[in-house]
Amino acid sequence: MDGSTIAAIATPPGEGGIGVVRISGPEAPEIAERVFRHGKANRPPRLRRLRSHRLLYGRVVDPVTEEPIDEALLAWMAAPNTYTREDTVELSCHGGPVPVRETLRAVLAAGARHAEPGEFTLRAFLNGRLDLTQAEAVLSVVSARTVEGLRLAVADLGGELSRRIRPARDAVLSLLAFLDAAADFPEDEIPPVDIDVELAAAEATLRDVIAGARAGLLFREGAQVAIVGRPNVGKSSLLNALLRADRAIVTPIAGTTRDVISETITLRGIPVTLLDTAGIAETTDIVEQIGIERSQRALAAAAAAILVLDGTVSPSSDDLKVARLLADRLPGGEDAPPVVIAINKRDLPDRAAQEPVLALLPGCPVVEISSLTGKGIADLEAALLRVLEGEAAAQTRPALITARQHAALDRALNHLRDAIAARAAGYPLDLLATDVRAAFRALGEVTGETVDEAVLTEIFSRFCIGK
Amino acid sequence: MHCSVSNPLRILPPMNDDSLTRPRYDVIVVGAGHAGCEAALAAARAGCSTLVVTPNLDRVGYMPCNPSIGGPGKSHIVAEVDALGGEMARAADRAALQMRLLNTSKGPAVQAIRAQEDKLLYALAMKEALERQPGLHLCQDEVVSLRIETDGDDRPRVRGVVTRARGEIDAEAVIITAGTFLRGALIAGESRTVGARAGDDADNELANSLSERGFRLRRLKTGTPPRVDARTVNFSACEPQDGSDEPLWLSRDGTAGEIEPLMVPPLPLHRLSPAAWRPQLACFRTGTNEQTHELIRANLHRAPMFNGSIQGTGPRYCPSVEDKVARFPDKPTHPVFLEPEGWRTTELYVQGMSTSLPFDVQDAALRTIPALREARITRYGYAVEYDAIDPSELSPTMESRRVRNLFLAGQVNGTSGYEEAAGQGILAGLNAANAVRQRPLVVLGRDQAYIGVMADDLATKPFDEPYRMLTSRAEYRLLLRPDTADDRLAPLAYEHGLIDRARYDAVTAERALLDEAIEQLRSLRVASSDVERGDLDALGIGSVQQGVTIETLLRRPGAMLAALCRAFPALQSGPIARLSPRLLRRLEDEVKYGAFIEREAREVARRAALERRPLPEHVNYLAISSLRFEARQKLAQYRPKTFGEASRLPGVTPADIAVLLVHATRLEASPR
Repeated sequence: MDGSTIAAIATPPGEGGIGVVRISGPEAPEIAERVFRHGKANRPPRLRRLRSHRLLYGRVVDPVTEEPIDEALLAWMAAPNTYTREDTVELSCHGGPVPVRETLRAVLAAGARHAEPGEFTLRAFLNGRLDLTQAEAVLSVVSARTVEGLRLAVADLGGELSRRIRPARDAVLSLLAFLDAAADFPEDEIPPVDIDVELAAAEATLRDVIAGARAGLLFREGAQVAIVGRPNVGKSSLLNALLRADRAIVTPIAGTTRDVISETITLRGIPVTLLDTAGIAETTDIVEQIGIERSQRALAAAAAAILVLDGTVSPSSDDLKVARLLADRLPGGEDAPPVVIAINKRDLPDRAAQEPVLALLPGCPVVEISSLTGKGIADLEAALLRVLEGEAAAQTRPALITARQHAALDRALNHLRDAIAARAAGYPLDLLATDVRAAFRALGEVTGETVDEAVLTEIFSRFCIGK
Repeated sequence: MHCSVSNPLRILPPMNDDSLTRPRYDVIVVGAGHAGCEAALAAARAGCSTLVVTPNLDRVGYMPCNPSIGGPGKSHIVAEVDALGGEMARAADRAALQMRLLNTSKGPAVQAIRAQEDKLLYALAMKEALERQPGLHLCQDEVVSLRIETDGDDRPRVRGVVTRARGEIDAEAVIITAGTFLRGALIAGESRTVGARAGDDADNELANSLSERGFRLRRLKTGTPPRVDARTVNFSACEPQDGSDEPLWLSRDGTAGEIEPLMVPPLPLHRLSPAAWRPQLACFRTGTNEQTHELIRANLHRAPMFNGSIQGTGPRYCPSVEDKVARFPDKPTHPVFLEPEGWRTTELYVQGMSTSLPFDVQDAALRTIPALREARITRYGYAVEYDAIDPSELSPTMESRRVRNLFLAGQVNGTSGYEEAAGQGILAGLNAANAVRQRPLVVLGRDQAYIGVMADDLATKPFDEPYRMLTSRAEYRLLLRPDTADDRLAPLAYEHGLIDRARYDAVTAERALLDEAIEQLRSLRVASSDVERGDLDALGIGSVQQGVTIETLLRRPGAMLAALCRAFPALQSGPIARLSPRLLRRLEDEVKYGAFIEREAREVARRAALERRPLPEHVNYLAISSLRFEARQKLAQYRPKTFGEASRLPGVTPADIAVLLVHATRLEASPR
């Protein structure tokens, strides 16, 4: 710890009615006193004389000019009963970017250092307030920025992830104990185990955990949604309508969007990144060709797709081509993103039937919209949410995991699959055990267990060893 | 530095000093058990004048418990002792009365030889090896204290020993291999006597001398089963277990046909195994039953393990029969093996019945087993409680951290097993010689030898129970196969004088031949037209694509090298044709295992960077509040040097390691 006092905006930018600036460190109260005026006399509070965990009403001022910035509530929390275990002051001002940013500027001007990303949690962790998995869960909330993510992170703070991993961990451990006991105590009576069944069960359990964890990732990391369609059907204007802001360049000339443009919106707790793609069509324009390849890649990475059609004209061969591209992916199962069909330009009087396209994508929700007037956009959002949540809802109770935990679980799964392959190929026990041990070690990076200790304890509690 | 016996050019001490007349050795070994014998031989072979002091010269290389050598993990150590020029494998090969291969179908990394020994012949073979070793003296005497010099050095240094009969003896280095002799106590039922094992006295003075020096001691417990008279056993109620039909040798010399078995004609009551390659005796298998268990349960209150009269920690893998009955009440039977203790003795070791129950209960319990209905016990089972030196006193070189040039090896370090003792002994002997010559001490890596795994475990892991080697303790189990021991250790052994030039050359030549053979497998591309259709099915390798190499074919699970050699004429010449059946098997394992060993190595390498990363030296672990309490204590107690050592401490979780990483990184970023 460098002993400095740090400050940062503690609420997500741009959302909510209240913005919080948090100050943590040995000088937190003194710094707060320089920017906060309170009571009828409009005087600085004397926080160290006050009892901890008190709330004061007042206003934030510029420490130099004394110019008022915003009305605010000041929360004073003395160490060690705070998130970081350091002296902490939180200033809650009106939401909206400007007052919050100005408050932070004032606090920094009064002597605080701007916190690095995650530094509050790092301090909490270094001061023994959080263990590593808790710290990771908190950091994932910080980056998740949504209420749903918070709910999951709170569950994780209670050890939800460990509970979810437990069955997989138990299955792998029990198998490893058998394999080790069989190798090291050949003259003892080790009850036989059906290795194939145990391996398959462990693999299936772990796969479930990872699938559940992926659903948790949907809430934390959000989902990518690709907006696709032939050139000039209004993909970029739909993106703008969804964002209600000018981001993509909208022109009547086909092929203006040469790159993939991404923007993030929040749909009922899920951060949704919209990918505006170049129109998918046969083209000789090399620059545009690159854009199309990017589109196809974006589509491959997307959790869902919005297919945009021009409702004023009958589907062209390009429309059918795009639809076929999506349809081809649909029966492929796992990797295929669900599709929502948006028939655009429904504000105009010309209405052409879109059946040839719809027939290619049976069962996909169809919404009539106008990017120009905003008609039907809410319906589109609702339909999109349904397909995204359908993905997540299939997994009950997602657990929230970090990239590190996710990687460790993936490694464990791969080691188990290696073991299954080695088993199928008829390789002997010593090789099998190498893979199963590696799987347990990878799980241990999440559960916090070391392999030797756990396996020996398991062996001696399960088998009567010793001639 | 010279290492010869009593060099006349030594600088003379002042005349009034009696050190002029004092006997003087480079290395003194205290004890002549399995650790002491290997330690003394290694030190002497490395060129040091060496003295072995033991209270009873009839107990050199003695087997007080199980008359057998080997088994998983253990035969792995024996192979390494052999590769390091040690004697255990040769003595066991000479004195064996039965050889068996265990784990035959579980893969070459865990395959193990178990040798039943004539325990007197084994001790004879070992003593003979010591007596034949130039530069090595044996004497019957008792070491009562160590001579330790403290002046002018921040770490005290051993200068010799004091014995009961001979008084002071000077030495540059001392190796303590006291086994269970430190404050030993024998316990059976209500009786408790002082002693290290039946017939031998305990050594309290040496223990006192060590604890006065500040050595932390741990109270441990071990035990041994009763022996019965073979003439009173009903063998028709047992299942005989014969020795191996195929020749099996623990030592390289044995494999090379250079071992002459020590033999005496067996007593007629023993059952000879049919195998022709060497005479072998059968062992017999029977088991306990509900009646046995009921009887033991009814007498548990008289068992020292249960009524509190034994406090020492016993090993979980070697439980007494009363322990087994109490902990696994649902098991209807526990196996019991009857093993001859020699060719010309009627005594049988009752494997599986280790106990410290009162003698009358031992009698009654054996009689519940049909084969032992009439059995007469010749020696009762008993438990031994003894002091071991806490292995955290050790460095992985086997030198004590507390006193320079003082080495510790064997059961005195809290291990169990003759093989574990021998492995430590040879490392201690080698390093004592290095210390005398002021050469750097050897640390065997965890990827180099099971002995290295053991030394590292002992020196860096908290100690919870007597330590036994298990193959699963080795991260590099696939690499540490017994048949690779020579490859791994011969260069080191030769460099230190533990093996001679001829042997080193033989190992090197073998390796070169194997490498050539591997090259042949790699470069030889074949097609299905090279082999008859019917042969292909017999090979068990399915189809042969055009241009596939033999190496690729051999990596298929069903493929056998011998069959491939028969099928492809190109393999009937060149280096492969020059391989002995043993080397052919080794080649097959190496090729088949290649991909897995690489995978194992990758998995270990993933952690290797962290493994070797040093921990900051002056960390106050107790002050790192984000570490869990248990981790703080373990780290403060063991002060690991690297993250690898830290990660192997029980009670230190990967999450604690992550915490340490954060702290270390911050310390390095802003040193204060």
